Amino acid sequence: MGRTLLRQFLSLIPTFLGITVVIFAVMHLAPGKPTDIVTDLNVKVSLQAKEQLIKLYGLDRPLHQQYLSWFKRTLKGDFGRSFRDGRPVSVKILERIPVTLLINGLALLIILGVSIPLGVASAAKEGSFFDHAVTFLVFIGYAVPTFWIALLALDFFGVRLNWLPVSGLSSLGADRLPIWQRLGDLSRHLILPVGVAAFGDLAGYSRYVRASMLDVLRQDYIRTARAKGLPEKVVLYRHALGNALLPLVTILGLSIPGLLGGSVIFESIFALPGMGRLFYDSVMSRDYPVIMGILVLGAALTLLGNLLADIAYALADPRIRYGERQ
Amino acid sequence: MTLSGLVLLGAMLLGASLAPWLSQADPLEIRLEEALVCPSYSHPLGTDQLGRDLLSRMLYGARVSLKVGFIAVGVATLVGVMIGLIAGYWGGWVDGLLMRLVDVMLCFPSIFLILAAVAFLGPSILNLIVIIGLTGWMGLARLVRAEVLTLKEREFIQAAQVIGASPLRILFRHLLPNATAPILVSATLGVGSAILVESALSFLGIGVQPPIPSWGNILTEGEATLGVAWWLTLFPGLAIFWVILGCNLLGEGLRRMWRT
Repeated sequence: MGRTLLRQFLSLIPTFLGITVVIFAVMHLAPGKPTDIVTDLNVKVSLQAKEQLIKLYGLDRPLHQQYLSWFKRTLKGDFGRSFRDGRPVSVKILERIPVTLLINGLALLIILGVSIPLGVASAAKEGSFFDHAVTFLVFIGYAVPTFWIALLALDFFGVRLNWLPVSGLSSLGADRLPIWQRLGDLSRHLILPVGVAAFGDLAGYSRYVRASMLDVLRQDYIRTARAKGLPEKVVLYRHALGNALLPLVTILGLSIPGLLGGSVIFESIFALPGMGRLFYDSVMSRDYPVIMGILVLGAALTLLGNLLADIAYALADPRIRYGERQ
Repeated sequence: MTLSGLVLLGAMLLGASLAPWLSQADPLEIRLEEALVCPSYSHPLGTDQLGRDLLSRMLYGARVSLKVGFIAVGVATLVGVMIGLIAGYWGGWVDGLLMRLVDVMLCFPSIFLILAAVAFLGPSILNLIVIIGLTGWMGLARLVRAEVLTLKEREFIQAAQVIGASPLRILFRHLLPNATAPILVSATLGVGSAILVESALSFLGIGVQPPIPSWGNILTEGEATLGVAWWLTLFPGLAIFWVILGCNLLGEGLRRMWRT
């Protein structure tokens, strides 16, 4: 297995190189130099600072040299400093990651908690009224734009009923409350964004679980289990579910870019200080170092997610785990 | 399924093309004295903050959103099919390089890449179309490549090679026609997601720019008037939902019909 994983890991290197080339290319699509925009829009930047920036980013050098020096610094985790406030990009990103991770993590828990039983039940009763109802709802859920649901939920729970806070992660003055009240305040702020984020991917996951479960249920060993007279619950949850969830591991790895992308939209709507919001603000103010940093990090996270999914898959599937020894 | 998808999409296309007849009001005409009027007889869907008729804006917005959706998918399909055909047919290092490119593109949260590119190139409708198209071809390229790889082993392709047909002829006369079903399914589903991306970008203020109406930028006004003017949030979202549902139903219906 070690060799398989090593090969997987090595194959990530050219992909990562490609990623950096694409990011570099996108950044240089813009007419003019990146520094022009900053210096033109911001009168506070002096000519001296502009020259300093040009020198710092080596913008006076040929493109391939610029790429190489940027690439080298990126490998070291040095993404430069933000054009807006001069703070290191890596610090700016790191302080935003927990919020995005928290919301997506909680949303993922809800998604798995709902979609797995739903998909299993609907596959177990294939063709029944329940199955049709679930399929119908999945189709509806799949077509609903997440940001629209976010707005409707804000309007209904936040504005009309005034039950839940509509923006941010804490109420005014919450930092002076005792810890449990602060946690309560935080969770009240999290309900809407997490709920909306979970809703967005629920339909897709339910569909995957159902399809994957149906595949497994058609296999011989399930028929054997049933023929042995095992209770249906044991067949479904002990025998079938484990194998049906294997493909889901890969899907989880593949879903990272989608999750990060989604966070741009609902972090803007709910005014949450996460990575998505940082990216949006940076794009709006043309903060190139931050944009490039987040793009590199986002893509690297995806690569890592895929690698972890491969590892998890290999650990879970004995055919891969023992494959090489035979 | 196919039929209900066609009906949903057809109704929206009809509404968009008959916009001037369905709603007499000018979608751009500002009448501040009629700002934020509830849906009524004279304004069936109400008006926005500037007193513009929402029905008109929705119908003209449909033109914009559908145009962006369909043409962007056209671009994505063209790129995806070409890359898939080339990679699948030539194989070897060409295939390796192109599939690596697919891997690379799939690693980006596409909305990040699109946001950055649109912001730098400027949010014109043409740029939107090209950028959405250029970030949405990867799935199709993989699909076409896989399709070509299996078709290549079939006897009729080998026969064509034996009688000396040129690679171009084999690609476009023999391989492509046999792969149209999955391509069409994928393109149909793609229109829905392209429209979703366009509306999300317009909602964030980076897509179609006001005063040109698009469902996404009407939703931005809905956000600004949350709790005051529910119609500005409800109707454009419903329209996006309607079209995506239509595309998904049609795509899934075609998939089942052709068993791809």
